[in-house]
Amino acid sequence: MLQNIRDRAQGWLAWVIVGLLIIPFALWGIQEYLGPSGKVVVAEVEHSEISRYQFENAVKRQMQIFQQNFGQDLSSLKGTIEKSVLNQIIEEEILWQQANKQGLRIGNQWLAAQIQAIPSFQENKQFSQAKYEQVLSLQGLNPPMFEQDYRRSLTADQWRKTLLATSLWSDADAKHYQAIEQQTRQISYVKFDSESFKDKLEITDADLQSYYDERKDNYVTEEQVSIDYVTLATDALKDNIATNEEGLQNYYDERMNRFTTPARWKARHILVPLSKESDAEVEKTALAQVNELLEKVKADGYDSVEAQWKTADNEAGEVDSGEWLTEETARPEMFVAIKDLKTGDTTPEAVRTEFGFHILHVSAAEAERLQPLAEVREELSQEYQQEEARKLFYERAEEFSNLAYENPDNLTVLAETLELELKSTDLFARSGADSNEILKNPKVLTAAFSEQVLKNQNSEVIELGEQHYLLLRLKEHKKSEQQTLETVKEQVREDVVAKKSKEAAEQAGKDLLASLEQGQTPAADWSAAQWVKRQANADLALPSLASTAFKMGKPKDDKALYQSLFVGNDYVVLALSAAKDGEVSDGTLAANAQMELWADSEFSALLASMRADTEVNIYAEKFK
Amino acid sequence: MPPIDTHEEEQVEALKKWWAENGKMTIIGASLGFAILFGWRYWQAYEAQQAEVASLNYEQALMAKDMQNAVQLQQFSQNILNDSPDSPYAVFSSFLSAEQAVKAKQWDVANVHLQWAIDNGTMPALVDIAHLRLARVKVAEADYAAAEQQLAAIDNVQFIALKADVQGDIYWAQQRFDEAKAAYDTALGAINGLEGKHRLWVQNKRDQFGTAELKLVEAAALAQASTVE
Repeated sequence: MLQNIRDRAQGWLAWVIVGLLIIPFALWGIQEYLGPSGKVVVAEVEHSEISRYQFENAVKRQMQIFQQNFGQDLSSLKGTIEKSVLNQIIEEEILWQQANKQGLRIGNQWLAAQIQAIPSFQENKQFSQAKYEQVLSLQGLNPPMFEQDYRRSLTADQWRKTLLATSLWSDADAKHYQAIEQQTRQISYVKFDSESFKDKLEITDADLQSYYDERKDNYVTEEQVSIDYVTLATDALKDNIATNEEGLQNYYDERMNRFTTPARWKARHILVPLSKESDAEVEKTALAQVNELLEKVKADGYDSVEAQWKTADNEAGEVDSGEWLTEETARPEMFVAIKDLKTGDTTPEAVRTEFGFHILHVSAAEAERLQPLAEVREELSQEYQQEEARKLFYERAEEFSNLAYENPDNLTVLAETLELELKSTDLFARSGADSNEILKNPKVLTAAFSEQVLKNQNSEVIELGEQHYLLLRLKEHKKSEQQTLETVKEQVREDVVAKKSKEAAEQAGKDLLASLEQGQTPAADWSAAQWVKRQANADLALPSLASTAFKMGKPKDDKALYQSLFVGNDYVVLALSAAKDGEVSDGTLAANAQMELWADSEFSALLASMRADTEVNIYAEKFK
Repeated sequence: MPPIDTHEEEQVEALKKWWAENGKMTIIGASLGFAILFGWRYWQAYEAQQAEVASLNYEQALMAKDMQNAVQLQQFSQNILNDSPDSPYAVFSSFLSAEQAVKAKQWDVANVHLQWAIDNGTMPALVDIAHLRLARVKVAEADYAAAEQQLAAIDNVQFIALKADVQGDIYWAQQRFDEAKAAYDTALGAINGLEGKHRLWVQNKRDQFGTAELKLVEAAALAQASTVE
């Protein structure tokens, strides 16, 4: 038959069949290359893809770190964080690719040394393989994965590390730095307090009128609403549930296990030791020995036999260090032997376990105990109510939503059908009010001022918390209104006074500056001359003047430099009379070395150069 | 066994003939192919291993620096220069030696190491950093013309701010204050460039000359101002 096959395999049909067979083999798995891989790619660095999964994990980690450090809701910053995280992932990938390209490598020896030096993998300051694997598995990692990642980050980090460690800081740099950063400057100033000009102002009604006319929008009443609302909440429903005796009994019956303490024993034993498997001869001898001991127990009582056995250096005494034994905790062989014994009983026969033959003596026995309903009634009926209320909530929640949907122009149908109390609030503004707990909830405030509600429609059902629904509608709407000058006259007057006194202070300062410029020296209330540093000038009454003084350039010859500026509402004329460079106190400059100052910038230039040579594609539209 | 049919015999004959003619070349070709393949793989493994050794030497040199052990640092750097002069680690360790020299004010030694990095570095951005650093050594040495020459050798837009800062320092050291001010302004204005602390430093250098947005009045000093601290 084989010959027949061979003969026919020469024909054209055979080739066709082989040809057909080739096709599935050749194309096997091709969809892996052609079709979408199912993986969403956020960005691509050269040919290396950054998946959405990897990116989102990194964002989540970063958000967690921020949340822990700042402890607030950061969802508004999510966009910014996402952008910076993506950039960071891309930069790390570039550093890694360039490290490979240029030939940076980390060998196994150095990698191992670095991992072993990580404190969280150590026990008693020694690296522990067991702890290493345990700590990694807690984070869902294994050693090969971790080692690969760590090698990658150590390699990529060599760029930054190098620039920092080799950054130059010569004594010329140090002197220059010291001269400028530790420079002190001598200043003096006159402060024109705007407050002091208030009494001298003359303000007419016309002034008030024109000020009011220019800023009408500042003088309006705040928009306010009050609302009617109903809530559906488990806590409120609880009060409606009368404790029903039958229901409670059923509830108790279903949970009997919780109130049952299982039977338990304390036991002592005499052990004739044997290995797990010993030959029949040894077994027989031991059995004879233990039976002899049993006879003695029957004659002399358990305690004295145990004491003798112990003195002969054999094992005897409390089982499990005197812990209570239950069906769950006792060895099965022992449990079977003691389960029907009472306090003071000894097993009639020896019990064989993997350790040998035991004679067991029950020193305490307690039967299974069930706490009666009466004892747990209080605790249980609260729980029962809570549970019933929860059920009731879910039964009614759907109806609540349906009724809300079907009756968009009133709350009464809903309130009456479900027997809910119709409540209402006082007037409040968009910022809410303290008078009612619900008016502190941003969801309620947004809904109360939503277009839908202002048009006299019910709001959507608002979920205030778990098992807590709220539906509201408008009760009263007080629109923002223009206030007449008459009603706000006092406020306008205050505003005008503030503005005019500020202007007067500024004018006084500018006048002083102008006369100084003309070479006059009018009498003014100059502060005592004072030397200031760039930062931390505790004895300077107006601290912001120091940073201004350091932006004024250096005074030349005998001249001083003058300048005027607002500090808050007051106007100040500042005189800079001298500047003195900081000095290098001794020859050693290492103490104030600013290695990272240059290294950071050099690194960013290096990274930017690498990036310019790398093809980076960002696919997520919003991060471009 | 039945006789082999003639058709098959013919094929065997043809194969034998082909082998007699081309067998030698096939064997030579195949062995050459294998030799190249294995040689290439061996070479790659060798290179990787060399890089790992250089990396280890370099990490140890960095540790020696932290421990201020100059002898060991020298030794590890020398190992790298001897065994892997083409690797980036050679450039890194010349940076390291230059840093040590600058700290000891041995300008000529620093010069030699940085010049080595410039001549032998294969990565353009690292060579740019070497030029930039050499320029700063020249400033420390007060050789301003040479410093400017080094800056001129950097042709990379990412270094505009850093170059301008060093140029500002060159002018400042020569008391050419207007030019220094303009150079610092260039540094601060560049899109890429100065990181946090460095930017603050350049800003402070710049502000020595007074900022444009403030209207300053120059007039006689007040009587009560004194230059005594």
